[in-house]
Amino acid sequence: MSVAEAIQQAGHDGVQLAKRWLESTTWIELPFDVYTNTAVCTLTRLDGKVKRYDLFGQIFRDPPDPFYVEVKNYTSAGGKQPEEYWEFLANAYSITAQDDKTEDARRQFAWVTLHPFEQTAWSELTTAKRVAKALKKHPEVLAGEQVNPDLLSLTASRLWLLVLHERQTDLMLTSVELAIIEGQLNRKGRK
Amino acid sequence: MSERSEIVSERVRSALQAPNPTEIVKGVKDAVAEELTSLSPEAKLTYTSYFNHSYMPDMVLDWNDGRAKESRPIFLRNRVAAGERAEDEDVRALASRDPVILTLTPTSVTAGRTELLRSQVQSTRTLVTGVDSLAEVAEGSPSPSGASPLITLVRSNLVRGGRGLLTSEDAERLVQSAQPSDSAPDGLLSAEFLDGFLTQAQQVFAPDAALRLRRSAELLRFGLTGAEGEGAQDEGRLSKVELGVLLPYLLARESSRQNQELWVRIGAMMTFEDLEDMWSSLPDVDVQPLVLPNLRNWSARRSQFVLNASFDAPAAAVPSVLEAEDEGPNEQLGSESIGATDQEPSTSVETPTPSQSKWTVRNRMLAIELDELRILLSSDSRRLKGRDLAGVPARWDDISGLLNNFELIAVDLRGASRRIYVSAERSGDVKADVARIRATIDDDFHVTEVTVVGEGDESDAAMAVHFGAATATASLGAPLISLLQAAAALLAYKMPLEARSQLVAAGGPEASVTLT
Repeated sequence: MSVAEAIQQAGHDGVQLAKRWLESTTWIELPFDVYTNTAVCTLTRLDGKVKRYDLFGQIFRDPPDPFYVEVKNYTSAGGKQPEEYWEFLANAYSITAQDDKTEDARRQFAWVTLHPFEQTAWSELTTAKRVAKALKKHPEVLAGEQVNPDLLSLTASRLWLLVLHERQTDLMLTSVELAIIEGQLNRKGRK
Repeated sequence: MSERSEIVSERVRSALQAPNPTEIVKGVKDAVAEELTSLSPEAKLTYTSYFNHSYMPDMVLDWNDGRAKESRPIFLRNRVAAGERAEDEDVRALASRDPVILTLTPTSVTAGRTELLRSQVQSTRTLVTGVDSLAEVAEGSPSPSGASPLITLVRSNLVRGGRGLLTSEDAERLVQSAQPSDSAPDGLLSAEFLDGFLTQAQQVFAPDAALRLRRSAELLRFGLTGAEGEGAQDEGRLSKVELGVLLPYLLARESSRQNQELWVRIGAMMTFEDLEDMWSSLPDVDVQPLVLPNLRNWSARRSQFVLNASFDAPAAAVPSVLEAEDEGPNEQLGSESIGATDQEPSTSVETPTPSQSKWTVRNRMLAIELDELRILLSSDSRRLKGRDLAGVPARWDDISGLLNNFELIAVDLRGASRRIYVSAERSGDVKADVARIRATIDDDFHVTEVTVVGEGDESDAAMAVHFGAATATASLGAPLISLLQAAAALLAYKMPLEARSQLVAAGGPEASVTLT
């Protein structure tokens, strides 16, 4: 396996791990991934550029909320993760603002990482203030538009920052147990 | 890759790129469902509200065909790239549910990794395969001589009993192993060919499914060649799918039709109800080879003697007694029940060239036909309603001799001046009692119904033979042979002796009765 393939493989493993873990909460389904269902995992920003998410599905609320997940399979605090997270925040705002021009799509954005980063600023990473700072780092996502404080708050309220470790799978209910309780919980609200 | 594989792969690929989730899910599930139902048409396929979910299946297949009810969850996956850790976890997490994990895109992995996944799932009852591989098996081999029965059995067992990793190459090998070469007629299903097939089958199927395939394969070989396989398993009950493949195939071949031992074996692995359920798969097939050896082993609840109203007989062959009948047609069968009339039995009909009897299964009933005469047998009395119960009773003197073929349990004698009911509850020898009554009382007795037990019937199953309805009914079931004899000897007593003799002969030597 080449280095490029190994990196791609590691990313793919991380996506599958995140999917299984999130679905095991019984609140989420993530049927679509960017490798196979590119179209439904792609959103458009204010500047017309597209952003692809690793996973797409929904949170079982009434009505369900669209759920977009970006998975980072990093093994250390360094590397590009902090930089990419700024972009993630800016994209979330830009896409929410683009939706706001027509109808609020109630999209939720999750950053799932296998390694924490920016630990000193951890509690601020999903705040409106942080989103505003991200827009200053990536003004191109605004396409010249002014920042809307209400949309900053709305975007921040729809951000999820989750840290996952491989061993968490040892603490998950088994497939059989989950299938049993799904029938009782009926999170999906089947008739 | 076969044409069918390419078509379904393209269909799935196109669906996966649809612009909205609903179209993706519907497009993919519909394409996959076509392959699944093509392979297991007898199963009930249910969509769940999930798609590509970690622990909720996309679909569930249920079988309920005489064997124990079985169910198998189908999990669709964008890929199960063998050897990749995350998917290995996925496969392992689902293993206890005996799942079918179905990849939507053709797998493309290095040989080493394929073997890794293969070894991981081989010991479980997990089937990991692709929709393209299913299509490969569903299409089968484009042999000019038609699909081999083994391929049909492989198809019908794959989703239900498959296990391990089945790549498209594996699927191709499996199909080839089940198809004898075109140069070898099916009568030459060699031991070598069967061994090759069974080796492949053991790789792909769980032990119980592999054993069932082996049993069917051995039956085919024994039927076609008379050769016994080593460790042949003639136990258990054949499923409807297996019967649906084996019976039409073997009944269509003269070599297997002549193999009486084959039909004894098959008969022991099925019931009379199974044969009735096969009626639509055996249109106009003479099932005599299967029925005759099992007349004593299979049981039914009712037989009826009827006249086939649609029979286009030579004028001389139709006895005048039939022309005197004026009963409404049996709508279900286009036939007319024939019971007794108050005319004398006719025995003076010219017999045309000898007629051939034929055993067929129609409308979930077994029928023995001889020209215009027909005896129907059914495991469900409701299917054979019989003629009007108020039909003409039989004269005692006409049938008393025929009753020597049976043990008489009860009879209700109706004379002009007396009515006498004689039953085994009051007398140990009903026949002797009736003979004494007949000898001492000068009356012309008629009977509507007699209760008898077939000669040699170890189950002592009582049959109520109703002359008005032209039916013999065993409410708890009686051997087919007893119900056949009751219909041929008693209910048809007005028919010409020659015709009755041929009817009885159609049941084989064991069904032989005295008709005079």
